[in-house]
Amino acid sequence: MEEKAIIGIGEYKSGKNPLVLVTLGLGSCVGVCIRDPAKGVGGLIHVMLPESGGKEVSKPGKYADSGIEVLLKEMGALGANLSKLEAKIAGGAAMFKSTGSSMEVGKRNTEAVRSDLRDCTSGEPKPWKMNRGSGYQVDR
Amino acid sequence: MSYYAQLSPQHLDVLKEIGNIGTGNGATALSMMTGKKVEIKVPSVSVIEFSRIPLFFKDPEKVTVGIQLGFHEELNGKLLLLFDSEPGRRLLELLIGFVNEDLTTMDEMQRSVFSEIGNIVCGSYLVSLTQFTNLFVNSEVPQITVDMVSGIVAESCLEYAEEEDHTILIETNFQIEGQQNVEAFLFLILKPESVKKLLESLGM
Repeated sequence: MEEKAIIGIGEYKSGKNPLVLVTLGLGSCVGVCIRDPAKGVGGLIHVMLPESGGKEVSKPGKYADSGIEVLLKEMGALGANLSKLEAKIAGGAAMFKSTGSSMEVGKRNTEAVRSDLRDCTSGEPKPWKMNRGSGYQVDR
Repeated sequence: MSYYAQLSPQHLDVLKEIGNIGTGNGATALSMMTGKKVEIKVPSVSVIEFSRIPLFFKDPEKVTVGIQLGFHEELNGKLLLLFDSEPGRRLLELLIGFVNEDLTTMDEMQRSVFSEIGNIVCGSYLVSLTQFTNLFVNSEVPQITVDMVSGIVAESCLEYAEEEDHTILIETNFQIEGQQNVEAFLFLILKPESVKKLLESLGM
């Protein structure tokens, strides 16, 4: 049976094939899947907020910037070639529509994740079910 | 240490009671509007880590109608009223006699039914909350979404995630009695400093 790990909100995990990483109920949060297909190393993070503002955080997975950084570090330690990564992102929804003044967390999360990935990987992440009006589940 | 970790069982009981009174008021208003008996169930209070929100629900990806009513001034937080899709459909049938197969494609009229229910139930809850605590709040317009339940709850809590790794969910539920009951869940989600203020206002 394949091994599955469920990633909670603001958490991250890396692993090697054949581990399957799952996260549930993405709303304005963004699920970021990163892998090195050649080495069979992958990681998943469920980002809640765009920026940690550079301060020490107890849970780096909460923020796009600190989370992607620690995840990539872990993947590197597992043998991933950090210049040969692929990424897919999902989520970033605007859940409650009637707000003109909403914080637009979904959109800001998406933008933060994209720019953090661009800094860390070889190319643009492939968008996948992005910025629609509703949430998604991410499975492997 | 997290502020929530310092809360005693007595504190949590007081929060539960607030949920009970608020929902009681909301249920009375709903009962007058629908002409049906509305029954409320025992409230519960949970302090959970944000990361555990999806695991709080039996089926975290169940399609649910969420109506959120934010409030601010002396207390900051939001009330979140949730209907599973089946009871949601029954509520629409009860109130406007028209049922949509798929609640994710509701029209303006149907969405406004839910907004109005949210307004009435949450508004009455807030009135009792302010009377009980003598604190003043102003509410916003209700916002509605149809999505996965854990996504909705996470979204409502998200605003306070910057300062806390935990959230406190004051949960109550009620049902409108009919041939088939319409069950709803109501969460009071407060900004951490408002939890403190609320308890202090009651001499805790």
